[in-house]
Amino acid sequence: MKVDEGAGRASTRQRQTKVRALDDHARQELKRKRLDALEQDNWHEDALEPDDDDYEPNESDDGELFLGEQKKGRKKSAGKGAKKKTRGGDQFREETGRTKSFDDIVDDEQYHKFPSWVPTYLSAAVKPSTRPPRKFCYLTGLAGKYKCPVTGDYLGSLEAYETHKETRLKGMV
Amino acid sequence: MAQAAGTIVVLDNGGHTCKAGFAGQVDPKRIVPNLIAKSKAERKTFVGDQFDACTDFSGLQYRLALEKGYPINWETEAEVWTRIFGKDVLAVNTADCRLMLSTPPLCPSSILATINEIVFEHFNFQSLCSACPQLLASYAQQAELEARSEPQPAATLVVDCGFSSTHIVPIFDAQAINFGIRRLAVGGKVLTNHLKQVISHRQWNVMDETHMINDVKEQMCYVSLDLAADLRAAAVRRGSAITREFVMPDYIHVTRGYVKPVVVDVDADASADASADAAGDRGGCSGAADGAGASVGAAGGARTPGPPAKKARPPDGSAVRGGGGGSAAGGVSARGGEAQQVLALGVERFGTGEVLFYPSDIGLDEAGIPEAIVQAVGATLPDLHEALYSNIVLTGGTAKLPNLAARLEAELRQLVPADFALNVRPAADPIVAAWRGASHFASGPLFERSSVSRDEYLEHGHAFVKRVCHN
Ligand SMILES: Nc1ncnc2c1ncn2[C@@H]1O[C@H](COP(=O)(O)OP(=O)(O)OP(=O)(O)O)[C@@H](O)[C@H]1O
Ligand SMILES: [Mg+2]
Repeated sequence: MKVDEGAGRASTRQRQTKVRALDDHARQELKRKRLDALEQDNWHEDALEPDDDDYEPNESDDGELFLGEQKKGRKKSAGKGAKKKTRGGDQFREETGRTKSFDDIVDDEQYHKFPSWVPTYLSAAVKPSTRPPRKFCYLTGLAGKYKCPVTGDYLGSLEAYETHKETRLKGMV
Repeated sequence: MAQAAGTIVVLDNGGHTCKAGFAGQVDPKRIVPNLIAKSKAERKTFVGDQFDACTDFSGLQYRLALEKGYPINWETEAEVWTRIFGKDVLAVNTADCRLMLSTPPLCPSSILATINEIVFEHFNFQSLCSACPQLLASYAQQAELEARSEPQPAATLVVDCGFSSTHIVPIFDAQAINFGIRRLAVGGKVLTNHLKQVISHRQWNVMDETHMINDVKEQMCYVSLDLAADLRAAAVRRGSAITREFVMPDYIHVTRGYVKPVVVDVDADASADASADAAGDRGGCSGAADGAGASVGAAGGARTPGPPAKKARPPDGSAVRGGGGGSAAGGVSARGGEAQQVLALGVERFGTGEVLFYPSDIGLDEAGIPEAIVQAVGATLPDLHEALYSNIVLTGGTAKLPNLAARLEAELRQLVPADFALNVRPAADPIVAAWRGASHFASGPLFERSSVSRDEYLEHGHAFVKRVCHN
């Protein structure tokens, strides 16, 4: 497939070429991180306070401003403005402990102390499958015919294994 | 703003979107993204409905109001709701309104308490009635059957495959059987993020382009009905019948990505024509447009399927595999030659949906939807089992994946006793099913009785609300 990296903003997309070589522990760690990543949104809290002046928060109070219109007589002020727009936001943060993650909230409920027959968020989680996990090639998504003796990854073809050797296995063998 | 007192506002507050409207209406007035997004490119922050005006989705930052399907980010949620009740969406004065709100099943009581505070003390609603969206979706089915004067089923098993997760909720006698509720961690969010990782691993780094990959998923993914055959087909080295190309938006010339029509024969010259495709294509991808667009090159636009409001784009085929590309249409083709970034999807088209059936594919230690259904039904009284299996309603946006219902029914057939009837019915419109049920319920006779007034809440507190609303 042809690649031209020069196209507009989209050029921040880069071909993936390097993959870290991983030992067993690191692999577990990566898997865990990957699962976590499937749940995350990507907001960075500090991003709320832009330090450059031309960043323009979009006022939402009262639904009066839309898309960069400026409210009459209201100065755009970096940082402050962005913060203030969360009308009542700080109040909610304090009242509700917004900084708490959902997992923390569930922990606080102490569901493990409930009798086993009481249905809770935790008890509703689906139990593991009775079937063995399937084995798919992580590079191609095809049936994993080979298992890498070093990393335990499944691979669908010798070609994929070559790629695997050049990437994940690099520096390990 | 001049609303009659007691107007009933109906919200289905999902992790992806909040469906907002008025009781008694057929459809929500507006479907509002339940998030605040910040665009570096446009230097703007979008709250809820404002996001619809966003045009550059590169490098967006999101903050969602819900985590794992439960509203916890109240800073965000209150802003989104403020927009919803404000003049651009519902234009109501909340103190003059009653609220019908969906809350997720088995919701931790501290979250329910916060909901009460926000609804009664921040927005000053007159009253609140809440129920889980799955129960509400079953009301929608009831209403449909009622309208066609067909008999009501004895029981319903709602499978809500939405954004945050997949919930399976057995329903009997218009109530959720709470000890039978089961939840998979896999929903549309996990599917999109998984696809993002897979593509980033194999082709382009798209980790920051959740919005585009979600579009890829919705336009290109489907559920395989014959996995072995599809895997074989996808393994073909070149131009497999399954592979499709997605032209990625650059947000300058192309504002929304689209699926390239299939080219029959790469070597043959001018007649680069879209073909009907073998691979069970997404509705609206090729099929429909093909017949009309069979005319010659100039009609490039007619052939391109799918999303509206796209700028003129290069005549198809010219850019597919380099080969000369001496396509007629002058001005445009120059742009065509210019760096079109293309994403090829083969096995990913059906591999993504596999995660719903085998969460273990991505390392999750839980059973897939078919087995989860068996677990949920198994937790109910044996007398109910057949009734539940014979009326499974599939709802939530992810249920729009083509073939999902058919595959589910096929896999369930292996697990359910052979003498049991089995029916998997997709909701008429899976995204708004819960809202429709809520709208119907809120305009019916039971609504009043299931609501808690502001005064009652102030006098009796959270436990009272819980007793009335969450049976
Ligand atoms: N055509 C489609 N194909 C595949 N997935 C789709 C399609 N249309 C919508 N979706 C997915 O459906 C999900 C949104 O569904 P829905 O509106 O039911 O979720 P929600 O109610 O907001 O969230 P929750 O799961 O918290 O209830 C998104 O992940 C979206 O990508
Ligand atoms: Mg929902």
